[in-house]
Amino acid sequence: MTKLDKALLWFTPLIVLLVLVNQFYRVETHGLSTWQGGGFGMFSSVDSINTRFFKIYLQIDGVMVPVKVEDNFDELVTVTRAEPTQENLQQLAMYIYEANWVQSGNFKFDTSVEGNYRPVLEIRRYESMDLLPEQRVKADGVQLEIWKTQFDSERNIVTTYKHAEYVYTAH
Amino acid sequence: MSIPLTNNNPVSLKAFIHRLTTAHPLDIIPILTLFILLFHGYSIWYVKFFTMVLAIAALLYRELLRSPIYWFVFSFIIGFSIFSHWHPIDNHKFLLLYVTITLFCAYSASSGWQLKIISGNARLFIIVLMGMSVFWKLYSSDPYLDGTFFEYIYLSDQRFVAFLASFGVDMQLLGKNQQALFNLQQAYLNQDVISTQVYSPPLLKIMAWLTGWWVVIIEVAIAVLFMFRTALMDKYGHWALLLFIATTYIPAPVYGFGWTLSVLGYAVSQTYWASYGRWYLACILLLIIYQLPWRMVLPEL
Repeated sequence: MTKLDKALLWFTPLIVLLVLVNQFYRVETHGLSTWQGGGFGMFSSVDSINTRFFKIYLQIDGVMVPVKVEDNFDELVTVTRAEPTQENLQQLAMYIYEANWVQSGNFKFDTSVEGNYRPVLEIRRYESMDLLPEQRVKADGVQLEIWKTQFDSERNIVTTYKHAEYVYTAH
Repeated sequence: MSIPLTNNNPVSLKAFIHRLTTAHPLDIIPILTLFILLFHGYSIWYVKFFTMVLAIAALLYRELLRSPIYWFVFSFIIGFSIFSHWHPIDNHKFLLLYVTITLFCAYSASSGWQLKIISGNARLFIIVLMGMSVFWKLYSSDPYLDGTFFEYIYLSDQRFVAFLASFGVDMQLLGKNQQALFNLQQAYLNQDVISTQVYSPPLLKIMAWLTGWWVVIIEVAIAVLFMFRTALMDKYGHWALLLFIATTYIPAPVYGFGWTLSVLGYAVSQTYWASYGRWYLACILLLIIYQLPWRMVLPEL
C-alpha cells in the first residue's frame, strides 16, 4: 500500500469525522436540531425542524399584530428553525421587518369569537410597483419567537413552549 | 468468474440480472450509486441538472463510471450544494456524498486497493451511522426507550398512517391528530393556544414501544457486529443489516436511505461474504416494490 493509497483510504472518514464533530458542537452550543447537520440523529427526538415553529408579531401603532409568513421566506425560516441562534433570529427578524407588508382579508378583529382574537396580516414580498399605497402597512418593529413541541404520553397532550425570541424596534 | 458490465451487446432481462449478479463489484457499485443519485438524489436544480448530464455521459461511455474525475465532479457538485445549503439536508444525503467521495478516492488508488477502500469505508459508514443514530436517541433530552418518541411520530407523521392503518388504527382519528398539531402551530394567529389533546390508542402505544426497542437493538447489533471485522461476526452483521433494510422501509418511506444502505452492505460483503452481495441486490428490488404506490389504495384521511 502506497502512501497515496493510505491517504485515499482515510480521506472520506476524515471528512465524516469533521462533519460529526461540527454537528455535535452545534447541537450543544447553537441549539441545532439533532436531526440536522449530518450527525445521523434522524428519528431521535420529538424536537425537529418540523416541530419547531415561529410566532411572528408586527408592531403597528403600539399593537402587536400576528403575522402569517409566506413561502418566499422558506430558506431563512428553515435555517433559523434548524439552528435558532440569536444571529439567525436577528437576520430573519430584519428580513421580515424590511419586507413589504400587505393587508390581507383576515386583517380584522372578530369580537364575536371567543378567545382573544386578533387581527392577522399576511407577509409577502411584493414588488413595490405592484403595491398600491393604501395596501402597504408600516411597522414600527418585529417580535420573533421560536417555539418547540413536547409530548406527554401519559396524558396524550402535545404542549408547546417558547424557546427563544428576538425583538426589533425601529428608531 | 466475473463478467464486466461494459459489454454493449443488447441483453434480455434474465441475462441482465445474471450479468448484474455476476459482474465485478467495481462495476456494480458505481452503477447502483448512479441510480441512487438519479432517483433519490438532490433536489437543488443544478445538482439535478448535472446528475442528469453525468448519467447520460455514463450511459454513452460506461468506462466513465470507473474514472476518478467523473466521481470528483459528482463529489464537488454535491459537496458544494450541501456546504452552501446544509441546514435542511437529510442525513442520507450526507451519506450519499460520502459514497461519491469514496468512489473518487477508490478509483484514484492503485488497482489492488480500489475495492478495499470502498468496502473498508462502507463498513465504517455503517458503523458510524448506526452508532450515531443510537447515540442521539439515547442522548437527546426526550424519553426514547419508553416509546414516547415513536408514539409522537406515529400520531403526527402522515408517512406512517398507511402502516398504522394496516394494524387497525383509526385513520380518521390519526388525520384529526395531524390537523390538531397543524392548528397548534398556526393558533397564535387567532388565539392563545399552547397545547392540544391527541388520540393515541393502547395499540399505538404498544407499537411505539416495540418500535423504539427494536430500532435500538438492531442498530446496536449492526454497529457492533461489523466492528469485529471477522468472517463470523460479519455473517451475523449482514443478516442483521439485511433484516433492518427489509423491515425498516415498510413503514418508513425513506427509500434513498434504504438504497444507500444496500449499496454499502453490498460493498462490505466483498470482504468475507461476496455471495451475500446478491441479497443486497434483492433488497434494492424489495425497496422498489415498497415504493409502489400501495398507500394510494387506502382511503383519504
